[in-house]
Amino acid sequence: MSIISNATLCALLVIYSASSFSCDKLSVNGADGWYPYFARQNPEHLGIMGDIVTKAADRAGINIDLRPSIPWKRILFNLRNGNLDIIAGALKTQQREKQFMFSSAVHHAELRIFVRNDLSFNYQQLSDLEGKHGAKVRGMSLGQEADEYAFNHLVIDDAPSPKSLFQMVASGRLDYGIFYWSTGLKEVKKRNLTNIVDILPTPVSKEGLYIAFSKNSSCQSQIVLLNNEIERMKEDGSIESIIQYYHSSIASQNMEVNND
Amino acid sequence: MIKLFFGILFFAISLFNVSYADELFYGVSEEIGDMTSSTSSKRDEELFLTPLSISIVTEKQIRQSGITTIAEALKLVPGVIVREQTNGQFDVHIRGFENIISGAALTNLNNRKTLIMIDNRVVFDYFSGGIFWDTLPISLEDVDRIEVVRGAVSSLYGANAVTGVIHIFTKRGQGGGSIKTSLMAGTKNSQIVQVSAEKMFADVAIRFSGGSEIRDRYEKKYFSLLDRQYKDPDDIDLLSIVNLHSHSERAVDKHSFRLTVNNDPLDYLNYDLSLFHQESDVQKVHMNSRDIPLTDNISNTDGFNLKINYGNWSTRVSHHFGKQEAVGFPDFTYDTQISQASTSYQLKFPKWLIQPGIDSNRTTYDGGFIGGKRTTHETNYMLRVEYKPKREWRFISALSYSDFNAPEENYLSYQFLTTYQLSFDTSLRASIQAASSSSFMVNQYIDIEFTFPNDPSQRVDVKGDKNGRLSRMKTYEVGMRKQLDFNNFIDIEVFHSEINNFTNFIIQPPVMIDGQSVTKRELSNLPLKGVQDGLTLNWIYESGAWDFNTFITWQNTEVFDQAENLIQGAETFDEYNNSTPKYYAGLNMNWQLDEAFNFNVLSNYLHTHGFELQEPQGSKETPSALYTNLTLSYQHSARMGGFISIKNLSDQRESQHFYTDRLEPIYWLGFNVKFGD
Repeated sequence: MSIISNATLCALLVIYSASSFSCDKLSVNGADGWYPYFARQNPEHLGIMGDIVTKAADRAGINIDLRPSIPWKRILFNLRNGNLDIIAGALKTQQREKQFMFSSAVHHAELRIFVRNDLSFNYQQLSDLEGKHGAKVRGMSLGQEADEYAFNHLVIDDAPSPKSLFQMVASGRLDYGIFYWSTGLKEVKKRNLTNIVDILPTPVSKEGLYIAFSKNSSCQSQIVLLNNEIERMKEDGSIESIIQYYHSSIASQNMEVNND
Repeated sequence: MIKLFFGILFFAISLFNVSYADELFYGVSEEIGDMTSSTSSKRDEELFLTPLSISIVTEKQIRQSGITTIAEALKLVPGVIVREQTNGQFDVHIRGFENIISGAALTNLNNRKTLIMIDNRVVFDYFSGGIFWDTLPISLEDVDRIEVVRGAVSSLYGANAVTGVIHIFTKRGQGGGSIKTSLMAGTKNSQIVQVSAEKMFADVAIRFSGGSEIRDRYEKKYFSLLDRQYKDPDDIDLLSIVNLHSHSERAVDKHSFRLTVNNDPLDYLNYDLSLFHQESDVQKVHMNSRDIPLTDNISNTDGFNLKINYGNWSTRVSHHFGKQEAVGFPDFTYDTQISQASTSYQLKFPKWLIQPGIDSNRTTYDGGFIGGKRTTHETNYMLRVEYKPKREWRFISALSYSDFNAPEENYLSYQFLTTYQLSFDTSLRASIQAASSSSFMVNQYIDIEFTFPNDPSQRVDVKGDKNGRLSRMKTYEVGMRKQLDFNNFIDIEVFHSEINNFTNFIIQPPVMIDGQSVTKRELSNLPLKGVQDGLTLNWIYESGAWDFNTFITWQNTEVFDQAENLIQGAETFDEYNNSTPKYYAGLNMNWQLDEAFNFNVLSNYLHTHGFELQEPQGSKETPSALYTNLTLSYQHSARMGGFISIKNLSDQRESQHFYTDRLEPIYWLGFNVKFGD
């Protein structure tokens, strides 16, 4: 499947590159604050997906223009219109495939359950959440299968923001909250909730993460080069080492959480 | 009629079915799509999916458009008619449907069919029914957002939410500590000062705010109802009023203070207390004067509102008390006390949400016109149920059984709603709703023999009926919201409303008693029925620096079994009613020139419409007019900014209301500064 999608992407890129103009650099943006997938705290490290793009560009001799932080919907709009070349980290949906080109999956995002430690429970499967009151951030999908199960069997509210979600978990207004594992961990730490909120070990779901490319970019040949380099990085283990770097960082945070 | 609705809806869907949007862009409208409403379903939900026709005015929109009063901010809302009576004093109606009783008294021009709430506290005048915008104990600086629901929603909020609800949400302390001052000055001696200060103490947020406002009227003359022309106050022979206010040129003089104390609203146990005080002296269309349309109303009230949430329980209590005085009408000075309490719970199951609740409203007035101290109370037993058989489909029913101490009859209000998300960028809604008004002190308890102070040969005897029935409205509505593409969003609603169960003071032929010509008026049932069909279209375009919000409402109102001038025994007839403009529209265009400068144009159009009152007040036709305001604002930094605004640039010099002030252009200059975090 991956080979077919790569071949399709290359074919599309070749077609688009025929009409492309020369360009100096590829513009990149990402969903801000989505640690460890995309984040801007350190100019050397843009999160796993950001680092994959910058490293691949570096290896391919392509210049990167990191665009300022703007709302996520505007990032998607810019990618569709060709005002942005690359999104470093996006989930793939059927609708999005009509609008953008995607790399093969380079990583995955894991959704976990966050609970108040005195309300902790054993979670192995979605049915363990029945009879409990949970929440996720508004607009967030749990993955198609989990969404379907949740609709039919669970009570999951929408929180307006990650901050609200974790505050409601900490105050006991919710039995659990569902959020991205590592991003949630960082949020827990940021809000000084490490003594109050635990993360359950079994994930709710795993969603593939992709680099998204604009179909209307004027830099199609560079995009082809970059995508090829990303594939090479997958094969030679460079991507895995980037992931490991962040995971060890998260693990150290996790240890701090557990030791606190 | 239902077929017509669906016909129009499906036509609209097919018209806009060429979509370039995908789910990514749903709600692009970074502001609209991400907005939530808590008035439509009594809990937070995405605006896009709300089952009722609703619009939200944000603090940012208010600031950008140079708005200076809360009522004026409603010019930004589709389906709302806003008319200025004097400088800064407005009359607001949702979808109009007003003044349909031909030959009624001047007091009937007050909007008795829209409920106003501040942070869930009902703010309504139960004297003769209506909205007293001048007595709201908040200033514009306190407003966080205003949610406006169009439709009959008594089943959610109790009596008087007949044509809709205007729900004002106010600001709370946001952490840190800061002091903010806003100064505005305009022509016609218009001056507004607003100050707010906030500070966190541990997890408790405290915010204090105060506002002071004075404005002069647009003109010194009043319209003499007897002479049918504008005249100097000294040249008007007063018949029903003892005296005019000594400051006849002053339109508004009001002051308010407010203190809020709250903890984090996301805590399991959270509380929110506000204490408030207001004083105002405002000229507005209020009393049934036979001399001039405007009456001076002096108000002085205090109160509190306390909300406590414990998990899924929500409880609220409030009390406010004070004094109202209609200058020149000695019998109409009264003390008022209004106590409210409500509690509700949310039960959640997969696919189901059940919200039972009770609320109670106890109103006490003490005044000569009602023979001393009178109390009415209303208890509403409410149940709202949501069921989602499919992810995209939702059914909602809400019932409210209203138990009044008077009248003896109890009333059931209901909502049956459904929403269907046709695709990621299209949502449909349909509703059947029924609502009722409450009774008012004048209707229930008035029992006076009023001899005209300046013509003792004439007397009017007015008698109410505490068991007078309450007017009811049914509304059928379908609507659609669609995100056409990244920049364009439309919201269409088609509605059909029927209102009946009216009462009013029927006039009996004059009789001579003890040398006086006595006219008796007794509260009686009217056979009258009003029917309104309409359509509101709202198109929003957002493109970074440019935003357009355009809306238009078309409506047609017919009245059946109208009684000529409310005279006893008069024959009834059917008529087209033109009290609500057939068309009314608005355009709010905003251009963010750069990070500092913002340019805004706000235009409102009112089609020709009229007022039909009893003699000697008579009738009035208001010609079609377009009113345009321009505002240029400059934000020097997060701490400092200002604006220049020209209101009524289109130089319309007509009275917008019933022979109230003829408007003039007015120029404003504003400055704001913030100290602290």
